[in-house]
Amino acid sequence: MKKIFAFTLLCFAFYSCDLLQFEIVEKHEQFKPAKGEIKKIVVLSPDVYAMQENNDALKENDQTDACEKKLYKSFLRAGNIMNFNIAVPGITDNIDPDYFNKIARLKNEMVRTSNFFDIKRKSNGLNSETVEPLSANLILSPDFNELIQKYGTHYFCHTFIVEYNGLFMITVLADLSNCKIVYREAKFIDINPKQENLDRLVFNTFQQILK
Amino acid sequence: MKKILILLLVIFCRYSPVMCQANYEPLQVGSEGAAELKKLLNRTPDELVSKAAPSRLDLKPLYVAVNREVKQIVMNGNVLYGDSLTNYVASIANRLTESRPSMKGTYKIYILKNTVVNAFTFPDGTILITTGLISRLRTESQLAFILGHELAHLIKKHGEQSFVKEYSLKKQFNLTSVSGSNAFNVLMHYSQEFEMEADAMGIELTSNAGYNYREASSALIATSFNDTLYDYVKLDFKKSFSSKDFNVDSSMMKKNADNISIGSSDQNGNDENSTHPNLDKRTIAINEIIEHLNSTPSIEKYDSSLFISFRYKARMENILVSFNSGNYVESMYLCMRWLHFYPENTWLQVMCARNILWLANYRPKEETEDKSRKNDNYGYYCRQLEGFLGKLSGSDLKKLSYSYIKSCALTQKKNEELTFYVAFVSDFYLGSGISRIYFNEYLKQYPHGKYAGFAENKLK
Repeated sequence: MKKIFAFTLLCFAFYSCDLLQFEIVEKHEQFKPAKGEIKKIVVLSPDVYAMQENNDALKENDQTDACEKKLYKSFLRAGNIMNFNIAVPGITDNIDPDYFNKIARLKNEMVRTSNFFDIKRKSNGLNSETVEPLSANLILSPDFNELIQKYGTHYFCHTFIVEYNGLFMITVLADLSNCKIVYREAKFIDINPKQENLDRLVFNTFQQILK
Repeated sequence: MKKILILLLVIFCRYSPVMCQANYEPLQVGSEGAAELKKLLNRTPDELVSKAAPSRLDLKPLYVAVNREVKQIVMNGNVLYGDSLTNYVASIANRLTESRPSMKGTYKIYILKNTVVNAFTFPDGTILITTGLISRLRTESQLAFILGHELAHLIKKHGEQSFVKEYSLKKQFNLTSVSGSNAFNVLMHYSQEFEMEADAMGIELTSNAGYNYREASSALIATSFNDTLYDYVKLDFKKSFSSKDFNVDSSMMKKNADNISIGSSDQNGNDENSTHPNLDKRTIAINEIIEHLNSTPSIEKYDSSLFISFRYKARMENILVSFNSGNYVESMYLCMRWLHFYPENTWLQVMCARNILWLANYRPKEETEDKSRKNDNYGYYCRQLEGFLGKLSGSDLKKLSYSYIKSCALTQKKNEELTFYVAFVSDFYLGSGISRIYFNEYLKQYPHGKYAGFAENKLK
């Protein structure tokens, strides 16, 4: 009963407020999973990057830490509600050599693909919501293929917060069986995001991927 | 007799570390290494304070900053521990501290995969040496001096002393930060004193361990000068990339690459606002110390072929780390540079083809030229490469990548990596129909290979 009440409350929080100001979604033309086809996504630990020099929004390290913790919590909550497995090979998990040899590198490669995400130009017209095909073949190294067997899925996702004239939450989904990025999105968020807003954004992101 | 000698010479050449450099297996963090790195991630500043020497000042803010910095570096995935290169560098450090038993367990050496030429010591005993630095050195004695210098910072507690000095300067001048004030110059003066002190002690440690301490100033020069001086090479991209499928015209090379200036130092200017004294000051002081040392330096007491084989690993890791950080032009330049010395290295050829293919997919929208690039070998050839590759369309780059790796496969002895990447690149250039033939060929030869899963998926 308690669980149902908590679930209803969370759903209410997710849908009752519409704070989303800006969103770009790009999908690979071959990425058309049937409902329920994706059973597991490995979520690499959420990060917060201060990409631009002299950026004010994430200047304070404490603020960066707080942002990272909130994002991490949102992932745990979304994972519980949506009933699919999320493995977070971050600092709270058991770190195996694959983290240092492969996963950290995979994260870096996924972050790099977002450099070509034309957020700056598109964010001039805020309040826009667009779904576009992925314009380039964003490829990843084929040696990440070894992770598929270990984690039992070929979908690996990385979400991070980054500053491009404002804060954006970027999610990149890779299909390691093809070494390609199949989905990416950018969402504009508040400079000091509230936990419930982040929860909602993360929940919506995974709904969009799984639908 | 002559025949036996020739046979012995051939066997020696075949198995000497230099000649064995025909392939490369990237360094990996083992399970012990992962456990050690995990320890670094899970440390708390309080633990570090409790291990530090007693101080009148609260050192917690210092260790909070140190902990955060170290954690960020480790999380990035470019730190090596427990691998052969780190073990080798750590063994040199152990030799240097043999005469100081109190140093045992107070420091740990890690290798940072980064092309920047640097080494740094944190007050908690974490010493990081970059692969960029190792790739520049010529002898083990030079590496021993650099390690001796870093260990000296730890022995003399320069990290804590800097923190205390900064604190007292802030108090004296009533400042929240020293940057931009007169106190900054005072702090830099102290920092330069620490560097001189570390140089002197570095020579002492190097000399005590039996290394050739006369290599100290040449170690500094090797790490300070631009990359033309340390191994000048003349590269011909036209010759490297031309094949029967792809014609490279000389006009494709960028003309605005100025002449190469040889041997200008990056560290010989005004050092007033610098943490380190300039190179001239340091080498003069080092030479003075060496003149007063009475011991006879042992010249190359230690195995130089061992150093060369580990330097090779550092050089290959530089290529990989440039590629992984998206600096494809830099990575390609390094590939071509080392292919000049190891022309049969198939790993370098594969990396070269990968860089071209990745550039085809990740081409920046606007050409951005790195203005900090100097007119040394690096700057000159990177500019040439940028100009040449910038003129090619995405499909031309894919074609170049394919024709390059195909011609390598025809001339070199095939191995798993080369066979797989011929298939991988052909998939992007020729499409899945033809690439199936190559993936099939790969699976036939390597049914349980590293990329077997990927190839099987492509054939589905």
